[in-house]
Parts: sequence; C-alpha cells; structure tokens
Amino acid sequence: MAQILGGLTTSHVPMIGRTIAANKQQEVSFKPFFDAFEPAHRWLEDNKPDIAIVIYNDHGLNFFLDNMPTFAIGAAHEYRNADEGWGEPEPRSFAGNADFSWHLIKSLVADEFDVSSCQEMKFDHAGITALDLIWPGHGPVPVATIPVVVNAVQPPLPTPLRCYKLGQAIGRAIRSYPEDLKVLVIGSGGLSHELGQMGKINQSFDALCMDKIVNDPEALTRYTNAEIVELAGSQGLELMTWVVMRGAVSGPVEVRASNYHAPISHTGGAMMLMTPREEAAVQAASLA
Amino acid sequence: MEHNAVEPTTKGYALNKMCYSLNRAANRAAFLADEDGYCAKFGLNEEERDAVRSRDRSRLFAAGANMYFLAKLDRVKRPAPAGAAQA
Repeated sequence: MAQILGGLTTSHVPMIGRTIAANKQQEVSFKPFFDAFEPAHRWLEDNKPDIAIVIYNDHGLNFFLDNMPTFAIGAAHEYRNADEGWGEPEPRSFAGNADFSWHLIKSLVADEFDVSSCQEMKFDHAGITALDLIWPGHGPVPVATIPVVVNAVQPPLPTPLRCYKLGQAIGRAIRSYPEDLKVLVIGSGGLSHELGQMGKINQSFDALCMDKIVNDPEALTRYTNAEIVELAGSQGLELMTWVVMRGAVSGPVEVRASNYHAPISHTGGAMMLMTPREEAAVQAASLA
Repeated sequence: MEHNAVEPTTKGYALNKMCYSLNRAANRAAFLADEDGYCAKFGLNEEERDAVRSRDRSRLFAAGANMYFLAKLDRVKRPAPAGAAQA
C-alpha cells in the first residue's frame, strides 16, 4: 500500500521563483528561507518519494470565473507551465501519474468530496515554485506530480474545516492505493499577505499558524474565512493549502525543518517539513 | 476599496475576463496597441474602461476587479516613452 512520508509547506511568492531562476538564493535578504530547505533536501535524498501531491491555489492561469471549481484534481499524464502574464516561460514538463490521480478522485468522491477532475491543467507558479524549492536545479523533478487546486479566487471559498476534512480524505485515499508508493504531501501558499495592500503581514498570527499546524491543527479549523482575512489579509487564505496537507498527514508529527522570514516581497514567507512520529516515540512521549 | 475575498460578486466579469486574456503575449500586444478597442471587444462598461485607463487600484476594485486577474493587468508593461533610458 502507498504510504505518506511527510508533509512540506512553503510560500510561493513569485520573487522566490525569480530568485531561483536567477540562481541568486545566496545573495538575497531572504537567503535563510532557502537555507532552511537543506535539511529537507537531505531528508528527501534518504526517503525518495515517488509521488508529490501538490496542494496550491491557481492564480488566474488555469481557471477563470466561467468555471471555478472549489477543489480540482489533476488527472493528466503530464503538466506544463504557461505564460502567467510575465512573458513566455521556458517550457517545462512535470510528469503526472494518472492511475494514482483517478484513484484519488474516485476515493474522494466515494468519501463525499465531489471534486473536479482535470485531464489537462496548466501548472501554476504556486505549484512549480514549491517543486523548485524542494528539488532545486530546474531539472525534471524525480517524482510524479498530482496537482490539487483549492479555490482562493472566487468567493465563497472553502472553510478551514472543510479543507482539513478534504486533507483527511486525501490521506485515506493515499493509504488505500494498492501500490507500494511513497507520497510527499505539499501545501503551497501563505502565510499572511494581501496583494491589494502591499505589506499586510501579521508575524504573530503567522507564528501561531506554524505552531498550530504542528501541535493543534484543529485549532486552525475553528477560524472563519472572514477572521483569517482580517488577521492575515485576503491572500492569507492560502493557509488553506497547509490545512489540507495537515489533514492528510494526520496524527502527531515531528518537525524536521522550519523557517519564517518576513517579508519575502510582500509576504510572511514560511517553510516547514514534518513527518509522522514513530509510534514508539509517540508512546514514549506520552509516558514521559 | 479592497479586494473582497469573502463575499461573492458578479460585478466586473467582463473586466476580469479581459485581464485573464492578458496571460497571452499576443493579447498583451493587442491591448497595448489599442487599449480602448481591446476593452471594447470584451464589452467593458464605462466604469470598467475608466478604471482600466486610470490603473487606479481602488477604482479597479470598485469596478469589480478580482486581485488574481488584476495582477495580469499589472504585468502588462507599457512601452517606455521615446528617448527614455532602458532599464
């Protein structure tokens, strides 16, 4: 059966992608953010996932207001980048795993999450930036990519509780896949920012999110979307991608890498890598 | 006026559709060549056209612009005025 190796979350500010493209990670003010990925790289080298489920929000690339799914799952053999308005990018291709995608979609629908299936999907910078941070070098990533898109564009947006439950259902789907595949679950978004008001960063709320996502994720599900907008700005709602991840990587987790740097561009920039705690370690901790 | 991430709105559909089209290089060129004509093709009303002309964020949000599509308008670079130094 497939297993969940862990969950990784990251911000996806375009400036991060531009810095990687220019290979200037060691020269920018937010170098510590890039450095924080080093333990993640070593962990990936040791654990070698086969599949990366990338939960992100589309930024007006693949979806328009004519047809805006709340949750959409890629079911293609391949995903490509595209012009997002900055100019034609160098074409890149990311392999999918359509069998796994359809298992995920069937399992979610059976679990009462009526997701949209997408046999073609332009792959947004939100997903690509996360993969470039995790597997630097701009080469083909060594995993099959499964895009999971959460609507952050057209209200009403899904609630944190709904996103958490979706994540739990994704976790059940992964664990019921018959092949022995190792899965990394990635949440790409946040933390606090609002594009209409450059610089709406809330460092104390971001710190609270980074604590709760590890130690008490259900606390995050008790916020309303309006409360999150008030605390973290409109695009702070991208926190939903982290919440979905944590629903999938359920139970006690161990933090293997973590960094917060504000601002990156206009955003509270954050990354975290967490893995399920070994049963023995959990028991020892509860006895201590 | 801010981007509203909580309440649904149908205002600004044509404006957002025009902005969404600017993902494509050929459309950005057409927009730059004849901004008013390009907006007319998408059926922008007067408020939307004025807001686009102004590039004023508050006016664009008031006309119903969605931040994720408005970002595409932000990315259209007007050609530098003749004689201006190239960055």
